[in-house]
Formats: sequence, structure tokens, C-alpha cells
Amino acid sequence: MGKIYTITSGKGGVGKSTTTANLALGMAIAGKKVVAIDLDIGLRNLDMILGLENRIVYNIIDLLEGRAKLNSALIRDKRGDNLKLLAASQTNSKEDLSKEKFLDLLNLLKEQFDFVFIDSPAGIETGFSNAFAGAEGVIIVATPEISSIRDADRVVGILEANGKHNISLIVNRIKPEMVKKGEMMSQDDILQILAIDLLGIVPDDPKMIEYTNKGEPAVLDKISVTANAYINITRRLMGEDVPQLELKPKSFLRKLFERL
Amino acid sequence: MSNAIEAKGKSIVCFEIVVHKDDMKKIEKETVRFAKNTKIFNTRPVIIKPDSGAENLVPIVTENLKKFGFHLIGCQIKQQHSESVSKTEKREITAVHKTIRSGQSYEIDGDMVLFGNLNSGAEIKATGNIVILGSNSGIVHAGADGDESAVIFSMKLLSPQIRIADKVARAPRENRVETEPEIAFLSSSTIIVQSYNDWLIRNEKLNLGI
Ligand SMILES: Nc1ncnc2c1ncn2[C@@H]1O[C@H](COP(=O)(O)OP(=O)(O)OP(=O)(O)O)[C@@H](O)[C@H]1O
Ligand SMILES: [Mg+2]
Repeated sequence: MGKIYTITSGKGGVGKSTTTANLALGMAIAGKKVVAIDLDIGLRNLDMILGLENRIVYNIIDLLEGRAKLNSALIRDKRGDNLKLLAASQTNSKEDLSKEKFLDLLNLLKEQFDFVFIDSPAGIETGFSNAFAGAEGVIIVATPEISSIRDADRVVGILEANGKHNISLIVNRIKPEMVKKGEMMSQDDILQILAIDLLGIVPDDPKMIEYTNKGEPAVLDKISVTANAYINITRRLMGEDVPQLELKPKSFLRKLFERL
Repeated sequence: MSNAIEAKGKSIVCFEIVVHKDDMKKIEKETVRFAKNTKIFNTRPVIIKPDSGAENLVPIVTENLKKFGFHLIGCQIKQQHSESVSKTEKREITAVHKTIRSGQSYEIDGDMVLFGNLNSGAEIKATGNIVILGSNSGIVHAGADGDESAVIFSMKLLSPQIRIADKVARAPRENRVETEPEIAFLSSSTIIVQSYNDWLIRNEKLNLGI
């Protein structure tokens, strides 16, 4: 039986889709059978981050409404067989998704895949509640900003009220230099407020735009700190005990190195 | 050997002292011994939790703990035996052991003790006193039914706004970095926020129902 994780945040634009793409691909590289579901109906972009937008023929609404078979709706990753994408529909709205049919689909996918990752839309409305309804685990993505933390806190409260207690946190876009100078909240500050388990931290990576534009998620750039951060998280999700990354402010030498 | 009096849930912020049913002499002796042994903790707030049937022993315990400088903030009595205890002597406390998050709100009849954080965007309303042992960034309203003697105790007060009875106080504009325990109370219709220690000196006797 596979495990279903929903990636959510409350606040928009904090990196849910980027995280979903990297965790799904990272898991696939590690040999697991994975499906990534874009549930941001109307604002799809998981396909773009994964570089698969030109392969979409059918989307999740087509599948749930019976216009497509499961096999034709599951888009094969260009890098291998392990990862499949179930794309969002761009022309529908969040209300067009039937929750019952979606939950049935998740039960089916659980039998065929090791991991199901659901990319949730921002907000706390229908789209969000559909996204977490069938999940065993919920991963909250938050950036070190007050507004993001407060929205994450709100989301954790709603999840707990709905009986979801396997909730963990990814702190995204940490800038070690700023944390060191006390200009940015540290992961400890954030954990103190949110009082949930830390799944991992991901540094702010200026190359992220480049990765997205190319459709090649950061996790493929194996030597980067960011790829390592994602790989560590996937290993934790597979049950390994991996120590948290120690993000250090870049030394002059490293900066020089990277320019070469 | 079972002790008649023991510390339970000894967290960094607060002591819960459980009083078991036993004879007065033994309780008194054990309280003194207990207070001596844990004297280093006497700056922590203390809550007394008598077992049912041991409520009558509370005064001896509080009296002796006070001699050793412990700060008693309340007494939690088991619900089902509340009829046997006179309301004016011992007020009931609702203890909440969790983080109260943005968007959540609590309305309490009586006093409330929160063993956790009150996060920004969360609200607590109580007809009595409010004690927050985590950090307090939410909106708190004590004496919500108009009780002007109600107080708000916070280990770390970061609230944008506090209310007592029908009065409202806003936090000063500059970011507060206060880490000292503070207490807010009404004095001639104005909400005053004061360091808990200063306040204790002014009021040797806490009027929180013990
Ligand atoms: N670790 C990171 N370092 C730098 N940029 C990042 C990082 N994570 C995400 N970003 C950037 O932040 C922007 C938003 O990311 P993303 O689309 O993944 O967020 P989202 O939470 O899915 O947004 P939405 O709420 O709109 O669905 C993108 O431009 C992305 O490249
Ligand atoms: Mg997104």
C-alpha cells in the first residue's frame, strides 16, 4: 500500500509546487513508484516545473469525469518510468472536482504506487480541503516570514480539527546569511510557533528560476545544496533517520567556486 | 513509598503540585520537605491539583509553599467533585494543554490556564483570569462578563491587544522584546501591564481564588 502526502501552505507562492515536484522526482530517482497530482485546478503549474507541459493530453477532471482512462491521464515523466504526473485542468475551477470521485481515485492509486504527492492550491477553501481529505500525511511548506507562518498555523489548526495529526514542516527559502545576522527567522523560531515536526529545510536558491524555466527540478542538480536538501527529505519520508542539514553562510571561497 | 504530595508535569514554566488524600500532619511535613527540596524552582508559577477528597488540604499546602516563596497562581479541582467545594473559596480553572493556533478561539467560564502558546491570530475569552504559560501573541480578554478584578498573566507577552472587562489596551507600536513574565490588570479603568515580580511585591496576597 502506498502512502499519500499532501503538500500545502495556506499562503500562496511559498513553494508548494516546487516542493512537490522535487520530492516526487527525488523519490522516483530513489527507485520508488510515484504519482504527483496537481490539484491547483485552474492554475496548473506542476507540469511546467517538471518540464512535462507538452505531454498533457488529459487532465484530472477528464479522468474523474470519465473522458479519459487512468493510463492515458497519467503522464509519464521524460526521465523515467517511476514518476507519473496527473495534471490539473486549466479551464475548470476548483469546484468542478468531485471529492468522492477523487477519494476513490486515491484509493486506486495507493495500490499501484509507493507514494502519491498532492500539490494543494493556496488558501483554506474547497480546493484545500479536497487536497488533504485523503492524505495520511500533510507536509506544510512555509517561508521564514510572519505572514507565511501565521497562515501555516491557521492551516495546522484546520488540519488538526479534521483529525489529521501526521503534520510536518518544510521551511523553504532559508537564507543562512540573514538568519545569522538575525534578519530572518530561524527554523527554531518557526518551530517554536508552529509546534509541529520538522521534516526539512530548503535554502533559498537563486537558480530556482532557471530550474523551473528549463523544466528540470533542482533535485536533478545533484551536487547542489538544494538537491541534497530535497534528497534528505525524501529519505526521511522513506523512514530513514537523516540529520538536518546545517546551512552555513557561504564562504568567500565557495562563492568563487560557484562562479567558475 | 508513595508521597502524599508530589510535583507533576514539572515543565520549565510551571509546576503542577498534586495533593493526595492524607492526614494533615503528614501533608504539612511533606510540604515543607518538598518546598525545601525544590526551592530552586520557587520563581515558577505553581498550580495546585488536589485529588478528590483532598481539597481540604489545599490551605495547608499553599500556606507552607508561600513561606518558601512559591508563586501560587491557582488551584485546579476535579470537575465531578466541584459541588463539595464552596465556589467563593476555590474557583475552577480550565487547563488547556496545547498550542492555540491562528483562527481558533476559546471561550471559558471561569479562569483559564494555557500550557502552550497562544499564537498570533488566536483568541481567548474568559469570564475570570487568564494565565498563559507559553508565549502569548494572540488576543486575550479576561473578565469578559465585566469582572474588573480579572488579570492576565503571560510568561511572554507579545499580544497586539489585550482586554479586561470592557477596557481595551493596544500594544505599543515598537516591537516588544520583553521576556519577563508580566501581568495585566485594571487600575482606575486603565489597563496596566507590569512585570510579574513587581506586581507580586505590591500584592503579597494573590487574589486568584486560593
Ligand atoms: N527554495 C527556493 N529558492 C528560491 N526560489 C524558490 C524556492 N522555492 C520556490 N521558489 C520560487 O518561488 C516561486 C513560487 O513557487 P511555487 O510556485 O512552487 O509556489 P506555490 O506555493 O506552489 O505557489 P501557488 O500558491 O501559487 O501555487 C517560484 O518562482 C519558485 O521558483
Ligand atoms: Mg503551486
